[in-house]
Amino acid sequence: MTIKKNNKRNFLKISSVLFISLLTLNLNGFKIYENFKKKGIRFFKKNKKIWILNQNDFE
Amino acid sequence: MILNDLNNINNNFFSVIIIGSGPAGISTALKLEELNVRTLLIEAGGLELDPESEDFLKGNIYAEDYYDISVRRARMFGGTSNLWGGHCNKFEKEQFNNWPIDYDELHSFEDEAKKVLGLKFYHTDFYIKKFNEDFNQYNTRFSDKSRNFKDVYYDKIKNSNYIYLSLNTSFLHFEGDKNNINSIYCRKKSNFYSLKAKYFVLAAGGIENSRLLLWSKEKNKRLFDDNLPIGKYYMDHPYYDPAEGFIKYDKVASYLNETKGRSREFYVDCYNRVNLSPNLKFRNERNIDSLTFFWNFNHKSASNSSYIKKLTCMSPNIIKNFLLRENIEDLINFKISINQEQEPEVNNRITLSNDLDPYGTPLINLTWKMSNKMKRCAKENLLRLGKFLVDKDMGRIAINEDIFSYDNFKTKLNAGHQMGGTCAGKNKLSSVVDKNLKVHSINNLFVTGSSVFTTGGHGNPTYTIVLLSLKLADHIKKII
Repeated sequence: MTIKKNNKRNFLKISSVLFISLLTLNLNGFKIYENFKKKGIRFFKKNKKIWILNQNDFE
Repeated sequence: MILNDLNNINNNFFSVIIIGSGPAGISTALKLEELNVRTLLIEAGGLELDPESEDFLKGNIYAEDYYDISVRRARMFGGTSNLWGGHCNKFEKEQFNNWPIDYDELHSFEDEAKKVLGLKFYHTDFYIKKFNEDFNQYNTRFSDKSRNFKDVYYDKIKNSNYIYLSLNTSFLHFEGDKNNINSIYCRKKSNFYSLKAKYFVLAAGGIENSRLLLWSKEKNKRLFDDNLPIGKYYMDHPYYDPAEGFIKYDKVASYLNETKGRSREFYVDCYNRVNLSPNLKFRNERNIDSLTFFWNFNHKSASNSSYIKKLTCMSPNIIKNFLLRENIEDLINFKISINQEQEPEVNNRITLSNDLDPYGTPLINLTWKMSNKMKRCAKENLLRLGKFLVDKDMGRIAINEDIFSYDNFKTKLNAGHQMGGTCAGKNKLSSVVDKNLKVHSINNLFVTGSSVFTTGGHGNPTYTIVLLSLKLADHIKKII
């Protein structure tokens, strides 16, 4: 007997589990999205100086 | 011993004649004295700097930003140690890859060099350690009282039985046949002398070594190989202040993880600096040379300084947001200075000018340019440091806009570390001296000082100059 892999179903299973896990972590205070945003670097030019700043310096 | 008169000197009385009494010449003479070798040290200047000596030191500069070379050289006993700030740095081993001299062999003279330079015993010894994935942290050591060789060594040389010092004696040129120097032709007051010895050491300074060799070659074309690249591959250390900013003191202190004394202090050198340089991996990935970040901290808390005002003027809204979130007492402002390595390039060179000094020796033309690669190096390093500060939330940096433009890039001042011109190397076509600092194809002429540097590194050169001079003296003793 041969077992056929159903790739589409596996993908849905894995991706939905991952999505729900990430959502749960995010809602419970780990703030993945915000942390990711915090890492963002922005350049800001003022008075012939170029500042290297964090994304959240602008908020 | 001081020689006031050169009239009654027997031929071959001296085993070695050293031209120039700066750190290189004096270090060589001191080591030869230890080895009981009779040496004549000639110095063009006197014990004090003569304002008229500028006429011997000036030249035509062909460069965008360069300093007045006549004020960054000293024609007097002690040479440029009279102008020196006392900074000592050690080359990294990988920066020695292109040198013909073995790094470990040269650094076997370290203890003697530290003694000659009077490196303060209570300073931490030279170290290089990892700061992060991209930068190493290293320290600078300081000579005691910013050691002035004139003050420290004049009496010692005056009382020496092996070192004979002749002041106000200007070297004019070498005399000899092919492959051999027989004598030096020099002038003391209005008298001219030909002085003989077995060996000759040219230690007249970073620029002067090239000038005197070029003029000797011009006077006696049979003496030197035509192809010797005398004067070529001249280097300096561009030194400038390209950035400032502020750090969260506690965060940086805990990152450096080195507490000293009070719990909030971390190790800095005696100028309150943390010194960083890019590691080999970072340099290779970006195809850049090295540099030093002197990270100068103002240890006053930011709220007590005018810096907050300045900061808020520079970037009001953003910095205000940042300041409101942070404890202002914990912020410290900093300035970054850069001492940058210059790659040896054949077009950066010293040539003879048509203008003459008062004794008839040509002055120099100096051609010097900072390559785009060097400008890119500064930018890459500053951006990386800035991103590191943001990633670790340790602080913020503001970089001068000029740094991002090849055309408007301005160094404003240089360190005055004149190097190259008589570079050491294995190949006669790309170097002037060999691994023993002997001029290629001449049996008894050696050159020492920063002019023999194959590469410039990013640190202050005096420590390496003294190491090279001690090694040279040791070599001369072996062959004498």
